[in-house]
Amino acid sequence: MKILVVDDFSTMRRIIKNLLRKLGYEQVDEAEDGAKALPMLHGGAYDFLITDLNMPGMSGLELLRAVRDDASLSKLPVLVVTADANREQIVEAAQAGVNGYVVKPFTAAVLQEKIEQIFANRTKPAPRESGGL
Amino acid sequence: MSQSFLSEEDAELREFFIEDASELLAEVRQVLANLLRGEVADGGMQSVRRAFHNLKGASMSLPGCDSLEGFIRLAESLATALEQGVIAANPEVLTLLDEAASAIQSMLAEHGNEPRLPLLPNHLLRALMYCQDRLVGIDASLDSVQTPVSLDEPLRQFRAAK
Repeated sequence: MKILVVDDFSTMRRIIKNLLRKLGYEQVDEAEDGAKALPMLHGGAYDFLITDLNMPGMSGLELLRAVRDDASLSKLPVLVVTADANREQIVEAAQAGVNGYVVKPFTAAVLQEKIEQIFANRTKPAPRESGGL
Repeated sequence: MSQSFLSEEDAELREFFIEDASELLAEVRQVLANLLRGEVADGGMQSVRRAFHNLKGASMSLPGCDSLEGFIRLAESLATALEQGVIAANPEVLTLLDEAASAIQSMLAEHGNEPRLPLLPNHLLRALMYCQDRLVGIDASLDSVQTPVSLDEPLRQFRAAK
């Protein structure tokens, strides 16, 4: 599975990549914001997107909306990462079609659980509302 | 969680964090120095808040950094209140944030490789907590155009008394 990790803080990208490596995901690329991520997503044949919400330039929410509005990317599973369990932000992300969210700090096991949940939900019949949360 | 050593992977991550954090904190201090000189730039306080937010997110994800996380959480809260105009960007408050950034820089430079990071200076922690307490009493949502509250004099008096 090919994964793109988007976060403006490189330490955080490194932390998430390490967790993914522990889970056996070796094909992991990174981008520092939504604006850099979008062209990578178009040309990279990614299977999964993990993005921070709070980023300068194009935020995680804007990136999510851009992905959902793009016919070639609209089905891409997206997990958002946030440092605060900010209800409004999470609701906004849900309305924009996010598949799941995870609040920092999180372990490799939690990340694995989120990824499995997202892929399990995608194999079920289409939900009436945005699923995965 | 107490620990006497960092794993090789955690030690590597910590090194990476120290380097990243020192760059970020240098930028924060530059923005604050500009603001203290009266040079107002668009997005200045937003970049300060984002920097503290990123440092918080990483420090809560790295082992042995819990003292740093709590300290940064308070600094981020103060920076958020400044960015939102809930409190006025007066010299005393800006100086406090600069001292907080400087203290984190020094602590990481001197103790960054220790398994468990030490506490940050108590006088700064108290001053940040004082601001946090004052913020709790201010409900900006009541009127979005209200005048920013000045913490300059109360904060000066609080710090002088301590």
